[in-house]
Amino acid sequence: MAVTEHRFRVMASDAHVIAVDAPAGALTEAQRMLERIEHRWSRFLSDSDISRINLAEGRPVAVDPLTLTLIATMAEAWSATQGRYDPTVLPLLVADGYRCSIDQPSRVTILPATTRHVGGLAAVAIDAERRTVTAPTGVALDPGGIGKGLAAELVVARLLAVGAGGALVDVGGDLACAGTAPLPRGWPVTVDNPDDPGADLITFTVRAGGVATSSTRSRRWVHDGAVRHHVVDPASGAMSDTDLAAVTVIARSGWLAEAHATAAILVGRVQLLGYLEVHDLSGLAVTTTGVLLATPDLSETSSGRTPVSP
Amino acid sequence: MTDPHVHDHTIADAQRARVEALRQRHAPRAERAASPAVAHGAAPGRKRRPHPAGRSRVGVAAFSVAGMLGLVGVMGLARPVSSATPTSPDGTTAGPRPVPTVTPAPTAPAAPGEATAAPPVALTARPRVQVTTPTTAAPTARTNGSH
Repeated sequence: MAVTEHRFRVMASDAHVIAVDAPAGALTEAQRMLERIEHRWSRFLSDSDISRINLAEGRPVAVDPLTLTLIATMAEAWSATQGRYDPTVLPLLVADGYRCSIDQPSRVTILPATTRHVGGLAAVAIDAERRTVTAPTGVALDPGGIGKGLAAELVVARLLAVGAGGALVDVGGDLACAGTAPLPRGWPVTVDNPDDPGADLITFTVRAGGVATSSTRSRRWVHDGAVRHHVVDPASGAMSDTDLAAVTVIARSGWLAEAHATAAILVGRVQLLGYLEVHDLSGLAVTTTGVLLATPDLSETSSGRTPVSP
Repeated sequence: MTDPHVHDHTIADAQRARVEALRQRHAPRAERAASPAVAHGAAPGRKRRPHPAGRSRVGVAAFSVAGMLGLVGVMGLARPVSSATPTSPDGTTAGPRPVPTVTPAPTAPAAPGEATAAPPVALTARPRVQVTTPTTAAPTARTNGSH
């Protein structure tokens, strides 16, 4: 078994590709595919599919088939999280100061003045035959909530299709994995301690599926003299005041893990474990006061900290 | 007069079967070989919980849900969402869930020059996880919410 890995920067995030018995050039091709997906989905690029949809003000926009998949997946994620994951919060994020790319500040999100938070994708029309997406005037979409998890999943599929025995793709901590793993127990994944970046909180193995972490300790910026973070509560339309610092979710797919991590951090400490249980998810969280919570299958942490019930 | 709920169920069930068939086609061999219990998420000795929202009522949105899932399904991505009575983020029960309007394609659209969006990653079952000690025996992924 030959295990190879490749690290690079894409989607303003660190990316890490690990493959088992991959053919020559496959990892470089994985990077190129992620770069192509970023070009189609980035809200910071004016000619991306997403930007063109957001700027079209009600007109149908011809898009790449992968973008059709993204929009349909957004709809399912919104539904699966009972609206807690909501890609139409983009105007709120932009108004709160998250307008520029973290990696390249010259890249900015441009939205029509009419855009607002509408709540859900009910009015967004997908025509798969004509390969068009139509968002009504006022609606703007942000793929940030699930785009990286879905992209990771698509690239894993690509790696397996070109002959890799197994693959894991991690984009900014949102990862998908499938196929033959490098360890008999699966793919090893370490969760960072949100209170001590770079330090391990827990390491576990997963055989296949997706893992994602949502955190209020990352993607922060200062706007109007106040520190802001990127977790917006669609119910209130404001930056979430959750008592959870970070939530990691393991689900059957990368995009679903990311959607549920976004949703789970919103529900807060008291409801967290119930939310994970109801949605049949594994996961763990650290509260803003440093308390560790975990589903039973993750109840023993390698950091020596013992999870508690809320 | 035909009960519209029954009709909606029929359409949704047909779409689910289609999605599952497509997913199975793309699924890794090991997953295809899994027993039905495992494939549907029931761990040995553990009774699977019904979805809290149940399946008893499917509103007028069901056809669009089925259409949307058909689109996702032909791309090999998703399993159907069983919840038909959504709950809003504040915990209150909402009305029928609005969904995007979708015109399903007759066939899966092909992405020019590369694979279509048909990842075999998506499972029907909850992934099995196992806590372990940090290892140097294999490259390890990290997750930290830096996305």
